[in-house]
Amino acid sequence: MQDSTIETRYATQEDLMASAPSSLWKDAWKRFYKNKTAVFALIVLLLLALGAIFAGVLTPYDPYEVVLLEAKNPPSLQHLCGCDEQGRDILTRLLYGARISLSVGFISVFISTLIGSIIGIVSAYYGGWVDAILSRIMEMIQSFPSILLAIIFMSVCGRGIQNAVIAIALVSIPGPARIIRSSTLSAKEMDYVTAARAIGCTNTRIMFTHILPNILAPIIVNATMSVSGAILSLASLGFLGLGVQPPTAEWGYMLSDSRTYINSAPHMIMSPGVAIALTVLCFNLLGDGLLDALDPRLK
Amino acid sequence: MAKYILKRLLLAIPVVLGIVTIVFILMRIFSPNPAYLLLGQRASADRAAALTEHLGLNEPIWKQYIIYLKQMLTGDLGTSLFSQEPVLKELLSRMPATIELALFAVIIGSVVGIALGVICAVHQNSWLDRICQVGGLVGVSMPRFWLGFMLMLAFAVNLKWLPPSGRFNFLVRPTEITGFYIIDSIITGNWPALWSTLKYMLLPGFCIAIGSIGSIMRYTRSTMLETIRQDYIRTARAKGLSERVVILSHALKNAMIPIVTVIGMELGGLFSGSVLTETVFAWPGVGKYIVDGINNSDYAVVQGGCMLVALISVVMNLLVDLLYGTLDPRIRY
Repeated sequence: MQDSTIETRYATQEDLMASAPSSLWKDAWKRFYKNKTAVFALIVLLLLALGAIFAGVLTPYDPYEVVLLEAKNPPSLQHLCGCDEQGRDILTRLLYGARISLSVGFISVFISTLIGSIIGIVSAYYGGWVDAILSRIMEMIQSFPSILLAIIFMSVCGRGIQNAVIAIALVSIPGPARIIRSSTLSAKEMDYVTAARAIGCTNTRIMFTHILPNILAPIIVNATMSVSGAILSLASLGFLGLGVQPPTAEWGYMLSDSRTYINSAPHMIMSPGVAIALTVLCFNLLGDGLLDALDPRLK
Repeated sequence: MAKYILKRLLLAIPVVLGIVTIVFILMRIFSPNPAYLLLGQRASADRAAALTEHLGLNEPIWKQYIIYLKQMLTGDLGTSLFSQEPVLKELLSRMPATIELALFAVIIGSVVGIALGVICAVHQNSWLDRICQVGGLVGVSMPRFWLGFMLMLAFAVNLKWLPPSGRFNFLVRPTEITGFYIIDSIITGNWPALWSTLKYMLLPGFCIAIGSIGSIMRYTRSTMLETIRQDYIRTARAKGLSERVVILSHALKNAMIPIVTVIGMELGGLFSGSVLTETVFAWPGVGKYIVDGINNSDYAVVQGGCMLVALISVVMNLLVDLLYGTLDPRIRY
């Protein structure tokens, strides 16, 4: 047993030596592929995304059609997750809800990562008073518990998907900003930056075509982890009645809607929670896997 | 040390100012008409105009900001639309419930989290360790409000062991002295009330604690793994100390310093998380007060409550920083 493990280890090392030098991304993919949990999480998420996209084709039911005769029916072969208090098929509503959760998650993280990266890279590159001001502002936003900031924003601006995206993006800007700032601080001391400056590159060019590609790994890992946070935040806002407008099928809203029936129809409250927890868990596992794959030094 | 404390306190001022300013910006710049926000959408035009004048909303924005800062400094958080009481007074009367629950949860979370973390570190890669790692990740991924409903469903609805929600039983309610029901019932020697208070606290307490257990456990495990590999642990073993003494009084004592930081941060987070858990369990604290404010469109309540909770988190972080310095004599200021 002991011998065989040693042998395989030698073999892979030789394999690597023999093969042509591969790119960073190819290496990363190879490492990621070996991580079974992360690959599993990715597959679950892809299936969920496909289910959300093709929700209209996959289920025979309409997420908003009220069938009072089937109200609160427990799970059966016709309705795999049962029906809610208005007789709507819960599985159908979950799939339509995935559209909202996933798109709000991705769009808000895209916005916060974009703005956060620019703030982080600019404040680290220029330093001095630019850095001081931007960092203080980020500290202030970060010291405000994010769910409370989102609550204030939503109660002032009113509910709706757009406002939810803005609120969630706004409160999560400091995260990427801080990570990118610290990565840029070490990257800007590298020789390739000095070289780029020596051949007369402009500051913008150095920042965005030289430094940025080299610090993509922490950005990607942070963004993946942030999607899970964004989905949880959206569900929390929905639960508090500050998310999307009812009767839109949204996981957090479905959960809060079904709490009245916890005694009579407990199946109604189970499935949205499982959907949220599973999605969030998969994004966390995927982020962990990406971290190991993209930055092997941290192992 | 005194110099460091002073410096940290001074550094906290801009953060507090920032929190107050962010609320100001959101409320005065993002909202079309703050007077209607405070009075409700159905307020008459006369009342709105009067309030606009009273709040100085016709003044230039910088002057409004100064007036607003003055109000905040004197603790004037406005009046609740719903009860017509000062928001600060209502918040303070609900604080003990929230603090009591948060402390209860953090004590459960720390004891269980540290214990599991130490066991996992000592038996690294055992089946128990793996289960705890997966369990911790699942615990962090679960929405706490949903977990609350699941606990309620299991222990209150199906097993009927514990009351599903609320804070007290009308028949055995302790006389209110401090507002902390555990302390109150001990002072008055009202043992049935203490028992009933604990029963009401168990479900929400555990619901909050499960998330904390996950993060405290993961953190304890990784710090312990680092500490166990230190030279002084090898020395302690070499001189023949029992494994128990080595782990508990040599390794854990040194690993505690960073763990305390995490516990402090958890406690700060519990206050903001109270918005969700208190709603689930109908716990009459600050979090539920904020959510009731949302449902009544009572803006002054939402604003004041959120601001107070944010300030508490800042103070918690400050205390953790100061505690860190006291615990670790290697840190010199």
